[in-house]
Amino acid sequence: MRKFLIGLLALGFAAGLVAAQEVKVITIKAWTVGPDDPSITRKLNLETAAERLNEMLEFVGANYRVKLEATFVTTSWSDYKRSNLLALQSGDPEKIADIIVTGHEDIGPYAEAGYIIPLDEYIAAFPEVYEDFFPALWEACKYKGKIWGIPQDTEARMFYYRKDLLKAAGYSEEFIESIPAKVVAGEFILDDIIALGQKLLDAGVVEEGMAIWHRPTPGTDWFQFIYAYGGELYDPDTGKLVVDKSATLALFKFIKKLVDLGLTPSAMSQISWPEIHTNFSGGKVGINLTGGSWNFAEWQHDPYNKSFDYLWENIGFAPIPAAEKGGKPVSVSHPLVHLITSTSRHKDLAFLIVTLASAVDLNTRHAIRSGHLAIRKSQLSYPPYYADVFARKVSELCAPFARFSPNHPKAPFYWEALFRDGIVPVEVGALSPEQALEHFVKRMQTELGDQVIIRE
Amino acid sequence: MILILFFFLAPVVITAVMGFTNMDYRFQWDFIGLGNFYRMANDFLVPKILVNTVVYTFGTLAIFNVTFGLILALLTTSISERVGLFFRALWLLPRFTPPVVYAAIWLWILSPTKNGLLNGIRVAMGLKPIAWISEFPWGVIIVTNGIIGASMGMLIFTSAIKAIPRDYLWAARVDGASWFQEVRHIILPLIRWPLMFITAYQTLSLLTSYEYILLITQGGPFHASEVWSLYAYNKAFSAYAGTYEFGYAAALATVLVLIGTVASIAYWKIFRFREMMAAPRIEVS
Repeated sequence: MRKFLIGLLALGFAAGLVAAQEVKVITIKAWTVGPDDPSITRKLNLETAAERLNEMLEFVGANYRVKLEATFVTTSWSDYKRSNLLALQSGDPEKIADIIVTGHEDIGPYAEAGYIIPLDEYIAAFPEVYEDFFPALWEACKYKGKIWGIPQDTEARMFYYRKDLLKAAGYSEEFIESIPAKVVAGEFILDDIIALGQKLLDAGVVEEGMAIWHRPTPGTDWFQFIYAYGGELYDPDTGKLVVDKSATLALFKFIKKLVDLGLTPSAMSQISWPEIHTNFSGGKVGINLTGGSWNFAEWQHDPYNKSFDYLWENIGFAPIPAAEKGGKPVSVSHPLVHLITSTSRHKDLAFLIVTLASAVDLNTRHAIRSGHLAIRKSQLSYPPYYADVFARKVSELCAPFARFSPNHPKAPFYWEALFRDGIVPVEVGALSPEQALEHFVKRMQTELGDQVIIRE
Repeated sequence: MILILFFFLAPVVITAVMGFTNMDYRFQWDFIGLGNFYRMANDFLVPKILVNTVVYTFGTLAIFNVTFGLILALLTTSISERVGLFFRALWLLPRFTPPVVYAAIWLWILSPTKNGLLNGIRVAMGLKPIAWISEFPWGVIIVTNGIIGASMGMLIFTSAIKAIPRDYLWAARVDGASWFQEVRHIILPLIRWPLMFITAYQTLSLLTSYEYILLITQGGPFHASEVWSLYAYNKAFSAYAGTYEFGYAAALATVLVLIGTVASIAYWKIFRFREMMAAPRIEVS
C-alpha cells in the first residue's frame, strides 16, 4: 500500500513538486467520539495516520503537509451527535470536520441530507486495503446501494456472567466453562439465563434484585432479543422498518419475568452506568444481560481498575442465546464508521488519512486497548491481535452471529421507543406486556406512519 | 425595543414558522400547513404530558417557589441578621451549583439501590429500598426543582420585608401583636406585589424549564415526569440517537409560547399589575 500511495502522491502532485519553494500546511479536521475513555485510539490513530502521510509527502518532496485537528468527545453519544448535526446544517466548511467518526446508523440521515459523500470510487482505488475488510461490515456502511462510510471498528454484544458467583451458588466448574459452547450449540437458551439468576438468588449469593442487570438506557442491544425471539426489524424489499408483534411481546414477557422473580430491580432504568459497572465488576451482580466487548476494557480502567487476570478468571461471556433449543445465538454489532463530509475542501487527503488509520497495526492497537474487534481479515493473524486472548475469544464466539441495526433514518427512534415505551413500563409495572405491546405499536405507527410495517 | 425584537420576537416568529414545516435532520423548510398541529391533537401522549406540566408547574410554584420561599424569607428576617444571612446563603447554594453536579447529587440521593442516600438510610433502619423516581415521579421533579426555585422567592421576599418601615412592626409589638399577627396583618399585605410578581414570573419560568427533569428523570419512567417543554426538546434532540423532528418540536414550543402569553395576560388582569406599574400618586422627595 505504501508504494501505491507514494505513486499516487507522486503523480497527483508532480506539478507542485517542481516549483516547491515553501511548504504549505493543510488542516484536516476530524470529530471523534468514545464516549468510553479507552476509545481515544480513534483520535490517536487518525493523528498517527496524518504523521505517516506527512512522512510520505516529505519522501516524495511534496510542497505541503497535513495538520490534523481532531476532537474526542467522552460525554455522551447524544451530545456528540447533537453538536455534529447542528454544525453540519450550517454548511460552513470552517465549522464542519472533514472526517467524522460516528455510528453506522447516521449514514442514512446524513446521506439523505447531503452531509456526506459516497465513497465507492475512493474505495476502489485501494483494493489491497479495502478488500481485506470483513464483507459483513460493508453492509452496515451501505445506503441506497452505495457505500458511504469506512468501518472504523466493530464490537460484539454479549451477556457476561460472574463465574465466581455461579460457583458459589453450586454450579460445577465444568458446567460454568461449558456455557459459551452450549449457547453456540443452541443448548443453552434465554430462559436458562433466568435459571442461572434464580439459582444465584436462591443460594443467597446475590441480594434480591441483583441477580441480572441490564443497561439502563435504549440501545441496539435490545434488538438482539427481537432477533433471538425470531423477529425481524427491517424489510429489505420495501426499505421499511418492521415491528414483529410476537417477538416484541416475548421480549416484554421476558423482562416481566426478570422483575417478578426478583432477579432484576423494577427501577433498573434509573441506575446509573457507573453503579452498574461497579456492582458487576465488583462481584455484587451475577449477570450483565446487555454487555459489550468494550466493557472488558472499561473495567480495567478508572474508576473500576480491575486487572485483566482478575476479569478473565471471574467473568465469562457468550452471545445472546436463542429463545428456543436448537436456535442460533445473536450478537448485534454497532460498527463505527469514518465518514467524509461533502463540505470538505480536501476530500482526497481526508480519505488518505482514513485509509492510513485503517492500517492493521493501528486498528489492532485500537481494538486491543478499547475492547473492540478486528475489521480486517489479516488482523486475525497479526501477532499482537492473535496474542490477545479476549479479542480472539470474542471473535470466535460472537462474530459468527453478528447482526446489525437497520440503516434506516428512523432506526434510532425504534430503539428509543422499544425501551422507553415498552421495556420500561413493563419493568416498572406501569403496563402489562400485552398493554405495553399495544402502546408501543401505537407509538411506532403514530411516529413513523407508513415507514413501519406491523407484523403479527 | 431592539433587544426585545432581537431576543424575543424574532425567535418566537422563527419557531412559529418552523412549526408549520416538517423540518428534520435535513433542515429543509417544507411547509405542511397545520399538519403538526393536527398531529399534536391526535398525539396520544399529549394529554399525559399536559397533566404532568400542570402538576409540575403549579405544584412547584405552590409548594416551593412561593410558599417555601416566603417561609424562608419570613424566618430568616425574624432572627439575627448574621444568622439569617447564613441560612439564606445556604439556600442559595443549589442555585450556584452547576446543574449537572446538582443532578448528579440528586441521582445519588434517589438511587433505587441501597447505595443511594435515602435508601441507605432505609436499609440501615431495616427497611427495603424504594424506587423513588418510579414511585414518586411528580414528587421528585417538584422537590428537585423547588429546592432551587425557592431561593428566588426568598431573595425577593426578603428584600420586600426589609423594605417595610420598622415603625409598623415596632408599633405592632408595642400593641402586643404576636409574630403570626405581624406576618398576617402587616408583612403579607405589604409584600402583596412581590408575592404576585413571583407567582406570575415563576409560572412562566416553570412552564419552560426542563433541564433538571432531563438530567434527573429524563422524563421517565414511561413519560411519568415528561413535561411539555421536555417533550418538545425530546422531539428535537431525543436522548440517545436523536429523532430530530424540529418541525413538530417547534409546533409544540409555539403552543407553549401561546400558553405563556395567555397566562401573562391573565395574571396581568387578575393581579391588576397595571396598578403596580402605575406612577405613584404622590411624589416623595
